[in-house]
Amino acid sequence: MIWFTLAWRNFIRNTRKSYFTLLIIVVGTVACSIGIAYMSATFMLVKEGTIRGGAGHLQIASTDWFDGYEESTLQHGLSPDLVRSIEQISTAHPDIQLAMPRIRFQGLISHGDASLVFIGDAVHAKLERQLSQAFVSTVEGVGLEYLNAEQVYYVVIGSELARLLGVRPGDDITLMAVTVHGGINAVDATIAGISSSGNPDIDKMQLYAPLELAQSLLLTDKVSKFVLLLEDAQRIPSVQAELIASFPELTVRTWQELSPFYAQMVALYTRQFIVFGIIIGLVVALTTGNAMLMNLFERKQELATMSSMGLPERGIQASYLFESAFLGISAGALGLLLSVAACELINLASIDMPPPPGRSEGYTLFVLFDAFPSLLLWGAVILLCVLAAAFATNRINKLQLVEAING
Amino acid sequence: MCSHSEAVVMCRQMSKRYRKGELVIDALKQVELSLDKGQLIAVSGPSGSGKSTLLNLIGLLDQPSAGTIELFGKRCESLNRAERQRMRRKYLGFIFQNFNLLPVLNAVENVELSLYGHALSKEKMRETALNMLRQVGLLNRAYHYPRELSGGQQQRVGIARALVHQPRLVMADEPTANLDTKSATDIIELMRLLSHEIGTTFLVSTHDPRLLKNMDREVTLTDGVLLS
Repeated sequence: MIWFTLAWRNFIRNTRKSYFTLLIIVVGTVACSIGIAYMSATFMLVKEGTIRGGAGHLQIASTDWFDGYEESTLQHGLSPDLVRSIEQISTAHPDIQLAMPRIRFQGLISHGDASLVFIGDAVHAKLERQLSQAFVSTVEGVGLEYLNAEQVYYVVIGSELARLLGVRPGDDITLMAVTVHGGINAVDATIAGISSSGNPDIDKMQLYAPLELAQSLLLTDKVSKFVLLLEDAQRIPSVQAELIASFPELTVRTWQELSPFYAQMVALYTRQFIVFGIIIGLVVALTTGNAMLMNLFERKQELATMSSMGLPERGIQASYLFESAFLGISAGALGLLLSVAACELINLASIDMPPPPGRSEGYTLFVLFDAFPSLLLWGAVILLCVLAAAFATNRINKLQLVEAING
Repeated sequence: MCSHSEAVVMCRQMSKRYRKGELVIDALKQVELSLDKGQLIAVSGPSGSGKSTLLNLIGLLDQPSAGTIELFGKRCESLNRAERQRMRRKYLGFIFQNFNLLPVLNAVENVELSLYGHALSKEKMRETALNMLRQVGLLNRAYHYPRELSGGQQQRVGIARALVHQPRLVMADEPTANLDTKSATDIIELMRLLSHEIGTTFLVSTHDPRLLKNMDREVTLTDGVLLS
């Protein structure tokens, strides 16, 4: 108990040097904490962006659709019977919020003398809109979700494709594609809107069409796959298992399996942060170690006095470790409090960031203060301080009592 | 290892040699000394004569370069650091010229420090420490911090700390050097009273004549040689 008392009293007997040490640890904690908050926000945004941006929580299709390639249109598509079964099960399942059929197709889009290749996504637009408020961000005209049930022959195309074709909303185009039977079919449609994904390469080929238009063009009732949105992401494993049991001939994949870039991004950011954390950790450890060494030097008479009285050196060392732990606890806590405030300020400041590589649109900087990694960071700060003090207090048993006792 | 001497301290042919680079300093030369129980013994001599070195060796803060040292019948010259620490905790007390109180502890807590490792409950430690402060006349200052005490009062706390665990031998290095005459006289009286009450041997390094005339015995050192 005396060692604890000594540690606390020495800790609160702060000098300017102690405040400086505290400040360095606080700054280090804030830097790490904001780094974690930026990472958390990025992971969250990418995750939600991936799920809400079209991947959903789960996708169900034939194995060959996922892993193989189609020699003919919708060769590996889901038959009308399977489509009905999936719709029935999804409607009845309490964990499934939305089940959206989709067709991936490609062909030529023509306007006047210009003909260009398109890659199309045929969707049930009103359902897709429920998946994402940002579904098909139109920069001109209207999105498919605003069309009524009769307006089947309308499409939304990418901004680059529209520019190259020289079309605007309201213009007529012709879509041509290979049908499921191997023949060529064409339908006329009207441009409802022009979309922008932020990626010029995508916008050069992208086309969105109602499911009925694609089925009419391809002469089929099949769909490529179903995208499922769940009520709760925690239920992904159980729903996936149930669907696999219900449709053994199909494959059910999670959004993570379909988006390997997410895991790669998490790995990359985590490694970058570890390097950054090691640097900050070294600064904290060296600063704390140095402060503790200075403390030892300044208090060597007190240490020698206690040692001359026969007090155990382990106890004396323990008091220094406690003192350093107090430093870590208070500096870490202060650092985390300041981090919360800094995160709020950053989010309130609406800082515009330049477009990331491969994108044409910038974004507003967003950070997310996450309690769990912040608590881990706090623990790491305390541990670092204690380890640094342990290194410094090794000198206690090298203390020359006779010299130290007279100060 | 142990002999059965009646003497509290027995030094035989004890020497201490320091090296500072090329320079060799013989701080103590073949000292023969025996101290009896319950005595107030002064070690006098000019500055640099080896008084503090003698106290440091007998107080097990340092080890002799040659010769033997026996405390309470136990040979101590080759004890390791931990064993010397145990001996100090159990049998020795120290009074310092600069008082050496811990500034973050109040008077009673400073006194209690000497009781750690003596298997006493917290309450018993506090009671014992307060009793000791009463004996040195500082009960009313028990909860004052060193910075709130005068030099004389701080030294009284230092004496209480040195004696609270009832050591057999107390080493006092120039205990009155930083005190005014009145405080010095009080401290001398107090040490004399306590040594007779508790039966503790006091080995006091000093050249303070006020202190010397109150001692039971005086040994004198000159250039590391014990003269008497």
